Amino acid sequence: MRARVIGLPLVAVGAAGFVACLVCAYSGMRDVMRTSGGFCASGGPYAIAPGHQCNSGDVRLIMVGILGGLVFAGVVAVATGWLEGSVLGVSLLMWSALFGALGWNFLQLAINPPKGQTSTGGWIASGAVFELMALGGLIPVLIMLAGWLRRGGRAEPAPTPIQPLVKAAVPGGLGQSNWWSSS
Amino acid sequence: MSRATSMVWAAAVALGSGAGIGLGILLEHALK
Repeated sequence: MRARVIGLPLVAVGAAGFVACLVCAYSGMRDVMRTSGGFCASGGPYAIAPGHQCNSGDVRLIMVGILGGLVFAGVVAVATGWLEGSVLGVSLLMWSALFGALGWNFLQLAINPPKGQTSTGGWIASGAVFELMALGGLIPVLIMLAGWLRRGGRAEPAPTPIQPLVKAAVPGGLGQSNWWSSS
Repeated sequence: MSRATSMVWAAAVALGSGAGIGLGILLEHALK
């Protein structure tokens, strides 16, 4: 009962935080792709090419998106585990959301490139790989969901214990006495 | 997890995700 009262609101808060951080990472990444061609740098001993200086707002968005996303993903996974739900299922779902959203950024901006962007072949390749990674998480989740629906929402039955193939034959005398004590 | 808890869990995820989109847009404006 306590798990439900605390765990369910915690799942909602974790999901809200994770999605909010995903929006930040998505937006920061998109901005870097639109304004700096997909890469930027700041600080250090090297001269940075004009137009590729990192915007502090984008750095903040990406940092909050990545670090906050990890923390809130942990909150969702722990709360789901506490409720005895599928931690694997919810983790794969968050994995798919992350790679699906960022892959969409790559593909969409490769098809409609920003002004001054000449080659977008790398973005198409990256987008395709990201979407494949998202599918790699989504397909097992759909299989798990189909299994849950087939069972009518019941929990998965516990696996039957495996009988040992070889059993040790213990001689009667040795089995009865304590061989290590003289009494 | 029982069937009822699963349903409420799914509703909590959906509600949280919806709120997260709005929160993310606000956060984006605040951080930019």
